[in-house]
Amino acid sequence: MDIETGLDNLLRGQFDAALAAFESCGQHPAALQLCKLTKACADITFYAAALSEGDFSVHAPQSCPALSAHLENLHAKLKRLARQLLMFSAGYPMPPVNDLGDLSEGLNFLVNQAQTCKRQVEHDQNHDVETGLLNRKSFIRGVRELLQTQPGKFGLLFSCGLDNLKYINETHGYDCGDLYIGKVVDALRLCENDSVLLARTAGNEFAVFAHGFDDEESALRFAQDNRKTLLNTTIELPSANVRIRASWGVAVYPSDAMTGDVLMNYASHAMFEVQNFNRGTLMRFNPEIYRAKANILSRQERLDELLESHLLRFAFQPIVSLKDGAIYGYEALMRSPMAQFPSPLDILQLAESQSKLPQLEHLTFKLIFDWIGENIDALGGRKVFFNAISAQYLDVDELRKLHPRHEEISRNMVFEIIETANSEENLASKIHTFRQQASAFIAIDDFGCAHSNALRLLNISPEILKVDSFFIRAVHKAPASKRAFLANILLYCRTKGILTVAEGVETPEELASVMELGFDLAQGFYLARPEFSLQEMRPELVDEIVALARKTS
Amino acid sequence: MQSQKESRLFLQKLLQCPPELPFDPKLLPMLFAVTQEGSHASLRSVTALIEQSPKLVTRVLTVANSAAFGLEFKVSSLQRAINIIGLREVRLLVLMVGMSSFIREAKLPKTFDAAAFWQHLLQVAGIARIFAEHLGGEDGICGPEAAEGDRLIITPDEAYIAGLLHDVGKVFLAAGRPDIWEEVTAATPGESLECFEAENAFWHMDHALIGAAVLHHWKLPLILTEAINLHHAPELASTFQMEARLIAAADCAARMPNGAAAGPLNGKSLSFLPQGCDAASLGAAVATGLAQAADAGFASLEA
Repeated sequence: MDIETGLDNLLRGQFDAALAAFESCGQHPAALQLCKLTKACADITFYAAALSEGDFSVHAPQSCPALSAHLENLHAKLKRLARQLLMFSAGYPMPPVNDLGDLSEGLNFLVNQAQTCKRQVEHDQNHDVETGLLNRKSFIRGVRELLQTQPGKFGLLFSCGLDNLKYINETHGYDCGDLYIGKVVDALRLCENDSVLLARTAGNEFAVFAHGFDDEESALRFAQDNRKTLLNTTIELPSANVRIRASWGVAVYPSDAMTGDVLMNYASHAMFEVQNFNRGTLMRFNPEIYRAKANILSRQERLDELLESHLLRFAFQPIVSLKDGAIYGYEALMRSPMAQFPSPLDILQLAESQSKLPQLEHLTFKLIFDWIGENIDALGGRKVFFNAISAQYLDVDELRKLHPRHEEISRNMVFEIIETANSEENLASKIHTFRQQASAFIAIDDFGCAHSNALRLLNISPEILKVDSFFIRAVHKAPASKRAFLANILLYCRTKGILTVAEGVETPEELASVMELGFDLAQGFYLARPEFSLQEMRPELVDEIVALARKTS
Repeated sequence: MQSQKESRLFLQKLLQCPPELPFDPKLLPMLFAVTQEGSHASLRSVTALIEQSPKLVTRVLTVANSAAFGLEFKVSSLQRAINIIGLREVRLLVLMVGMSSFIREAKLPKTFDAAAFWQHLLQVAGIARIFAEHLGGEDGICGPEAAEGDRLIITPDEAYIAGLLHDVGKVFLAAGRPDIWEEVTAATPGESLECFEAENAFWHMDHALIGAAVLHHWKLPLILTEAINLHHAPELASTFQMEARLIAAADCAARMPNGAAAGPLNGKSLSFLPQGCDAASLGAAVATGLAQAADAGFASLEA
């Protein structure tokens, strides 16, 4: 062993071997120093290795004081950096790094980038990407915060729905639609300040909340002013100049509601009312209308109850022969004993909006077939007129499922077609097949209105034609053209053997008139009101009809 | 030796579901804003937020009606109670209620001595207030006249709060990771190794960092969170270094053996204070201040 071997080992990093070599030549003058140097190298290597692994718990070796000062300095900086980065990852602000030379700049750049990205993400979460306005969620949060800072003032939230965006998109293209939205946002921004929040709450809806008014009048004036500004704004699109067309719904804090989300809800509700009934105007939230709408919602459950528990009855209104005053038949009218549905139209509308018409129709058919099955003797030869909502049950196979005695019952039935069929031809062919199999009569209801037109009369050629009360109302005073039209229809029906019914006869004059025109049958409040039992005609009315019939013939 | 990844995950988890306060956390920044001059925050909104917490309402009313304010009549409206106590005291009260609530609710290990913990917090808070009064006062060495880096910005009230909150990280650590807590306390029985060193050795993170992260999450001002964050390493501070040193000094002063109330400040505490400060008069002020606090039964306020 000699110094040379030790130095070789030292250079190769084999410190244990080098130390052993130096210690073995203890007599050499430099041996002691070399031992120290080797130890210092070993310590520093161990220390640097630990640091490079990221282990900051080691301490700089004291064996080489000059070097360890630098190491400690670096160590402290690394430790601080690690700590700051850890804090930064937890959302804590990172102070600028300024003592790492060139590295500082790069680190600060990265930190700034990360913060910018984070802010961008937060901004995107809270804003509408297209317009840069707040989105609904952050808008409501903003409203809440504004209300918290000044709870004693008046605030106004209006919801503004663009009425013509769809039209502009369709006629001028979506680029123009975007341009239009941009201009609307510009116009809305005119009123923006510290206590005003703007938001885009849906594709064509904007919301504005302004706070800090001293009274309700100035708050409402703000909305009116804003509306005027918008309505007076002309927007130049490449192809045309258009005006802003919008509907406004307004809710006031604290009169209408105390919280942001409820205000928003109320203002939107008012705006929908405006869009449905009075486009282009401004409406203050109206609690009565709101409650009525809420009532409809509560009625949805009632409809389910009605369908499940068969809560339907029928009222019967006589249809009278104008020859002799005898009862030709009864129209069965749907009635519900539930207070929520005063009119059968309510039930129909609700069922339609809930897509429950098929269930409702099945229930009505089932109930009327059961009823006739029980009361067929009481009816005698008199018919029951019954509204068929769709043509689905005008089918012997379907009727068979409803009642075992369907054939017998069908003989007493007149199915009134009220349906707004998609295809008149399908309806006609279905009825054609039905008529070949069953002995029920077919009537066209409400003739002269909507789908119940002449085309349908020709296509279906029913047994009975019910002329809508529109033609019968005040028919004695009606212009000659209307009477001539009716006379011609009646003439056509007579030659084809179709019985005609005058609907809605409410006065003696109307009765006299329809008899004069030559209707075969009549129905209406003047003759008899609907009742739950089968009623007979009042004798004096029979006498009146007989007298009139004698006179006209 | 745990990796930094684990500490990062712990922090993230802690901030995602921070300890529950018995009031809306929004109240905290608002209380600090409303005591600032020229702020937009209104007293009414603070009252509205306090109103939502039955615990706070009872507390504020109790204090307003307590003997300390010596009123002849009974205060029953919150607004009046706040006016009587003063917003600064209300702020302190809210923080106290919040802290006592989450210390009580936290599932702390059996070895966690909550009473001693409170005592330490209150001592540090008291000393920090005295330091801030003396050093940051008109004629203090860190007063308005001092050079930029040496000036103390924190007010005595805020220093008290910083002292009160400086170790909250320990609660979060002990409740969130009792295993690490046990290991750290086992490693530091002889005080040769301070617990923050053991924590740092364990997972590169100490209770000061955890506490500051949560307090920042609750939107407490940086002057508090920075002082708390670096109260074991004030030399690392780039802003509010004087505040961090103040809390560090108060922390060391309160750790003096055989009770904090006696004798001059220890060397370690002095090493954090600016050079040239009057150690003797500071030590005396601390001694009398702590004695008064003990007489007033201050430490029992929240026990």
